[in-house]
Amino acid sequence: MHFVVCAKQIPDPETPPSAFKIDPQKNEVIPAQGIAPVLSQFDSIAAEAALRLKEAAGDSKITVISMGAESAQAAIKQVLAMGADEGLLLNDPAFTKGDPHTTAKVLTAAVQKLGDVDAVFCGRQAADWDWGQTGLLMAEGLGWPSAIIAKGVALDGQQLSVERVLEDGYETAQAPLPAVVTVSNEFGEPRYPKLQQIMQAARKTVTTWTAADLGLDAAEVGEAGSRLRLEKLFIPEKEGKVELMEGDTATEKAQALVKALQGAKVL
Amino acid sequence: MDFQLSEEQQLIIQTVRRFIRDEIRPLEADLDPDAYELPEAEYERLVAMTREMGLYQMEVPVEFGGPGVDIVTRTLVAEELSQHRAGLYDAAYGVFGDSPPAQLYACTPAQREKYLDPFLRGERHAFFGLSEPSGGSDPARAIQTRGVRDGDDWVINGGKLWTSHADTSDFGVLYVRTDPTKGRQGITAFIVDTDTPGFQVARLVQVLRAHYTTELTFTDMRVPHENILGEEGGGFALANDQLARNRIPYAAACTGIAVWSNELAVDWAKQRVTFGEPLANRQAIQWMLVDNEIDIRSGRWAALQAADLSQRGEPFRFESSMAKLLCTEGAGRVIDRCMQIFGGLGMSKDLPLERFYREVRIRRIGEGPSEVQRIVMARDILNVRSGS
Repeated sequence: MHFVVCAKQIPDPETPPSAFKIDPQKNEVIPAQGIAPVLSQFDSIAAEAALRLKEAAGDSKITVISMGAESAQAAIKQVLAMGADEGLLLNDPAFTKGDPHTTAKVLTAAVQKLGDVDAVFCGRQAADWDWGQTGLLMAEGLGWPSAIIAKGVALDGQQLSVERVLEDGYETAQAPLPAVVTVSNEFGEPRYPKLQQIMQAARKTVTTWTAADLGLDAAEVGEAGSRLRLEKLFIPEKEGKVELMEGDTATEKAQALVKALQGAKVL
Repeated sequence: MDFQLSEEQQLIIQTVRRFIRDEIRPLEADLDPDAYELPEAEYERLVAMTREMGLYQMEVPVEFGGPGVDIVTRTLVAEELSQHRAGLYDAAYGVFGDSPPAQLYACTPAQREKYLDPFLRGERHAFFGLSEPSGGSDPARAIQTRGVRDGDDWVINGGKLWTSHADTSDFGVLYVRTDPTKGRQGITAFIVDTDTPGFQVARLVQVLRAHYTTELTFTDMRVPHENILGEEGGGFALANDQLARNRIPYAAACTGIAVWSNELAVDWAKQRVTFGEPLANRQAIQWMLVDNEIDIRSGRWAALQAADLSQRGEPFRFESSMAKLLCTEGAGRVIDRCMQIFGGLGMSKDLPLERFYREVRIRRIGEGPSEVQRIVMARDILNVRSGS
């Protein structure tokens, strides 16, 4: 079996709020100085799901794919250190500033080029923009069934049995292979890499594919191909106001409070 | 010159950092602020994890069954491992495995079977006994514990001080003067079982840190000749090399607590508003934070350079002394400034700073005080030796 794990490198969510900065003119997040980007946590859980399936299936391999800058190799290496077999970086200036649709398009093209993939595992959403669409759009592009927000995945013959998280419980769905699964945090903790695997991962070469390698036109990917436009990026300002209720007696103060709350449309 | 870490080092650091953040720090919320050990069940659970990760006893050389992680990487790891409340003296509460006194690697096959291997399997515990009431910085002169040959045994009399874990150990490495006429060549290292008649833990010595040390006495303690570690009269050389090497991760652990303290202080300075302005807008605070960075980075690079030289088999004694001095003194200053930035909160046991403040003070004394490090460095600069 051949499983693919999609891995995105994101700003470290543990960055202190005070170090988080944006450029409102460019509508961009400014990378925090001295804080290295990390693998999106949901994607490390997706990797865990794929690794467990690989262990259960035997004679399988996992390819980890990341679309991103050269630095995204670090995210790929992290999944390799967890036990994935091969790494693939999709890096092209044309891929930048895209939306979930263009990201899915690039990842889909890579999966199609790999050719023999049985299942794709994505995090339920990227832990930076939280769109939660890429896995579903990939399934659409590939024409494969999808099972999203999984808390458990098992091989059941030539199909996947997926436990899906619902608002009030969970359900079990069957998806024939090949399929796309997005994995939720309810799945459990991702494993720690082993020293031996870390050393092996460090020695592995990550293959890079560009838009041309994937047969994609620059106009259909990245900013040029995006269907979503980011209108305004801003950090919400929190404001605290204190208003003291005037009155000689407790009753008067309570009446003033009721009035003020009515005025503020709280009551 | 390359200041970049290798991919392997980055992955190891990420792994250890996540372990400290996700496994160790949350446990400390329920522990006494001065705790130096974990509940048994938690300890066993985490040891099983580090064994599985292949990072248990990471400094143990490959030929002794360990992963043999190099000293540069171990220096980087030491900076990560100390970043929790008990981290300076009880990094990750020991779940990455205790190291034997490094001199034990000079053991004979028989000693290995009886002492080193059981230690590495976690079946036997060991201590390192060098310092005496007469001093520890100048062991060539200060060691007064005396060993006299008697047939196949040595009869040892004297005592040791500041010996950690001797009361809970099965054996230890003791430095003994076996020839008073030969100065540093007259000192021999012995492996001594703690149940040997004449071996006594005289008292537990309470110190600034959360855990105590011990004072030991030896009265007509008979130790077999075969328990000599290395060569008779070769104890000093054995100790000296390892002490210089040990200073490097010892120093880096101080940088680790400085890094975490500074992270907390930077965040606090941006949040805390006084007189209508965040602390971070005050030049007095900005300069403290800049000085913290200078102390942290100068210590870090000094430690890594010393480790790099050691790894390449080049002389590193000067650099390890400089790293030890910069890291221990720098971390003390950083933590002091961080407490000042936090104000009253910095004094409370809600934060780790007060514990760091107490424990880091010991580090200017332990493994050779700053003044002795300066003597070591001055000797190299001036190329002088003060006798033997």
